[in-house]
Amino acid sequence: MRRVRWSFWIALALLAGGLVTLAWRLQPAAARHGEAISPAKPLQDFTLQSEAGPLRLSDLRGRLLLFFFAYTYCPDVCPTALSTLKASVENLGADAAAVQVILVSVDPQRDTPERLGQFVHSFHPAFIGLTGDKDTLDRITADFGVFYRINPPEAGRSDYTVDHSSNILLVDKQGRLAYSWPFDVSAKDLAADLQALMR
Amino acid sequence: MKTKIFCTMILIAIFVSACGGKTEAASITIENAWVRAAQMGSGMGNNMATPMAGMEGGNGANSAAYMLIKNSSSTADKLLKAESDVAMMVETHLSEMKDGVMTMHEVEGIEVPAKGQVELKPGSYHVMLMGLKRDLNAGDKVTLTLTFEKAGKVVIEAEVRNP
Repeated sequence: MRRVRWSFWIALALLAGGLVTLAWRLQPAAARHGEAISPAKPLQDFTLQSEAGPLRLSDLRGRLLLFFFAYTYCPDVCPTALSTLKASVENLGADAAAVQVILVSVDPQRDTPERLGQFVHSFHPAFIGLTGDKDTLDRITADFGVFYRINPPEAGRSDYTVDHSSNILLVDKQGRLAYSWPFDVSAKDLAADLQALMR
Repeated sequence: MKTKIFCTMILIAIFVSACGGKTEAASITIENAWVRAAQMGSGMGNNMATPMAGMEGGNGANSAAYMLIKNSSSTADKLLKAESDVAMMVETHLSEMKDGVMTMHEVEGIEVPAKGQVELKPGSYHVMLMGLKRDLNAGDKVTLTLTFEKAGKVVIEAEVRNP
C-alpha cells in the first residue's frame, strides 16, 4: 500500500513537471527589449519596387522581416537604425539568413529604387530598399500603423525633411506584424531578441 | 622715460588681451568628434528623382557630425554655426521624438551651459552635412569649423566612423 502511494506521488510529480515544460515550450518566445504587438496583426500583401524589380511581401514569407520606414536624405535617425540593423544581423552569425532587413522609403519623390538600393547596400549587401507611389505607400503605412508626413520646404529652399515613425517593426514568418523596437535599441539587444523569436 | 612707461603699458595691454582671447577659446573643448560614414556611389546625384537646387555639386548624400562640447567658463555659450568643406551645406539640427514620430529641424544655435556640456548624438542634436562632395569612408578625417557666440571659432578634426 505504501509502495503504491509512493509511485502515485512520483507519477504526479513527473506529470506536473511535464506540464510545466510543455507550457514553457508553448509560450511564445519572449523578446525582452522590444514590445510585442498582441495579437500579431495579419498584413495585406503588397507590391513595391526594389532596385532589382517589383517585390511582394508574400515573396518574403518564411523569414523574419525587419521593416524600417525612412528616407535616404535623413542624416541622423535613419542611418543610426540601419547601422544597428547591420550590427545585429552580423551578431546573428549563421542565423542571419533567416532575417531580412527592409527599408521602405516614405519619400517617393526623391528616393528612386536605384538610389534606395545604393543607400541600403552601403550598410549591408543583403538589405532591401523598397518604394512605391504615394497611394501604395499610404495604404501600406496605414496597415503597419506607421505615420509619415512630408514637410514643405522652407522658403527659398528645395530640400525638405520627412517626419516618420521611427520604430523597427518585425513581420513574423506568417506575415503578421508582431514586434516593435525603438530605433535606438542596441544591436546586441536586438540580436538577442531575434534569436529568442527564432526559437 | 615716458616712452618706456608707454611701451610697457602697451606690452601689458597686448599681453592681457592675448590672455583674454586664449581663455575664451580654451573655455570650449570638443571631445569624441566623429562623422558618420556615407558611401553612396558616384552616380547617386543623378538618381535623385527631383534634383535639389544648389546641391548639384554634391553627390546627394547626407551625413552628420557628433561630438561632446564642454564649457569650462562660468557663462553659458552657444554653438552658432558649423562649417566644413565636405558638404554643400552645413547646419545645426535637432532630431526629436514627438508621439512616436521622429522629426528633424534646424536649430538657431546649440546652448552649452556654463560649467557644463552638451552632447551631439544620434537622435538628438547633430551637425547635418547636406550634399556631400565626396564619400566619407571610415578612418577619413573631416575638418569642421565651429563658431561659438563667446569662444569664437574652434577648428576640429572629426574622424569618420562606421558605428
